Amino acid sequence: MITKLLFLLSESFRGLFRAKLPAAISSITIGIALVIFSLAYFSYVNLLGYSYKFKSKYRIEVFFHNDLNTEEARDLFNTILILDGIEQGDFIDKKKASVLFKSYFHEDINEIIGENPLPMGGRYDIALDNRNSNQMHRIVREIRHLEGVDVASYQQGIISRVDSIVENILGISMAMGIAIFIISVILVSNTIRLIIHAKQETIETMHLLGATNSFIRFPFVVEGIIQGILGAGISLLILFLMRSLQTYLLDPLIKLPLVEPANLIAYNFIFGLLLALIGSFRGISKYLPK
Amino acid sequence: MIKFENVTATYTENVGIFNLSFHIQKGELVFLMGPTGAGKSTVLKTIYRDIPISDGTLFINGEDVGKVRRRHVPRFRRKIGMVFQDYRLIPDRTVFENIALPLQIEGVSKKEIKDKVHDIGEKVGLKKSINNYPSQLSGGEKQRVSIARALVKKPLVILADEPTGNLDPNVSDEILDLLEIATDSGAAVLMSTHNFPLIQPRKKRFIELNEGRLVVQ
Repeated sequence: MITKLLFLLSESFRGLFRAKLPAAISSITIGIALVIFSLAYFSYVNLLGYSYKFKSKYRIEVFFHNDLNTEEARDLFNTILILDGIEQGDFIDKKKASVLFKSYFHEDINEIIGENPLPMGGRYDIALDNRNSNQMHRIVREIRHLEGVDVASYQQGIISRVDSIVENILGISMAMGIAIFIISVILVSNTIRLIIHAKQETIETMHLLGATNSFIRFPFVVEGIIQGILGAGISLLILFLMRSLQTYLLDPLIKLPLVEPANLIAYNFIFGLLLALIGSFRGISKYLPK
Repeated sequence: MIKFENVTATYTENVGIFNLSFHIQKGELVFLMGPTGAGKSTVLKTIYRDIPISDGTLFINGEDVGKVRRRHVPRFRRKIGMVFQDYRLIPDRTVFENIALPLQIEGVSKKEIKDKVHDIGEKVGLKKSINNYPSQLSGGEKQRVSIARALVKKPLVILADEPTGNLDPNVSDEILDLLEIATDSGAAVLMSTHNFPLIQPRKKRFIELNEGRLVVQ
């Protein structure tokens, strides 16, 4: 068994050296596919990051009835705070409300009308999973049903619009990612199929000599794995060069707060191997008896 | 060793072999004769289970070929040595590697492979060209490699499909000598040919086919 395994492994490496050019073409194809895939993923992560950043500003503002005293208002504030979907909140008493009024209108309400008629209330941040118009609508509805609540509102129009834009873009990105992956699989498997086609007679002869499908497939799969690793290396090199170029050319002009996906290296290797394995299996399956 | 009992194996309704019965003993060399399209290759393909038997029974060393499961075909084929008219050598492997291939498929140890390949290489006269590639060999040498590859695993049965078809008469005779030597180890050898003058002096048994049916046995 070990003798056979060692033979098959050596065959895999010899196969690569025997067909250097097709193997290089296959690795480059995988590399280019991974670059496109990485850029799509990079855009997706950044878009997602920006949308999260934007959504972190989603808030619900609540104004209580003016007849509530401070203790009752605080109790009501705390009741809202523990509602499902609320992350944290900020209690606004009359004093704080007048400070906010001043910061918005640059006027002191006490000086204008001689007293502070502003209601107490609260500003609530929304938990991450609930930062969308549907959930926020649900939370606001629940708040409005509470006794002592005068007004509960959020920026419904903008949030619905943003939600729909983000959902559309992410949907398109996802569809593009899947399309790129499928195209890459077809491209890589066709390249590998070309390599295998050149060895069609060898495969037939091995069959006649009593080789099993797995015996024949093994070296091609190992070759595929090596090509996948090389492809991932090529992709990471190109991405590194692109990143350096972007830093060199764009950074002096515009500072883009781009998020670099933490697992890009791992994803490149995983997808490189996946592409190569699917490609090898698809490529060889045509030449093996069922 | 090879026993055909009313075997029918067809590609289409009228093409194939029909109701064939014959028996080849251990250590016997038998020629399979007939014109092109007579069904010689089909007989060989039926034996190595490349085409299925639609009727009758075929035994190889007592094993019913029709009952060999698809997944066991590779194991079954390892009992058979095959020699082809077009040699079927792997072009990017040396003579040594080509001969060693059946042993590597069986998972034989490196040392044993080395010993056996050198031994058989010497027997078939390939000692000097053992590290050459097929492209560096003559037709006769290529066929010797093909025979050595068939013999190296000491098979029970050797099937030779027109092994002299591409060779000149002198070399063809040498190839026949090698196949005859193979029977010494007890293997049954079935060789297809349409070259009657080549086999006539050998005074061996032959089976003649025409349109897939037995004519002479």
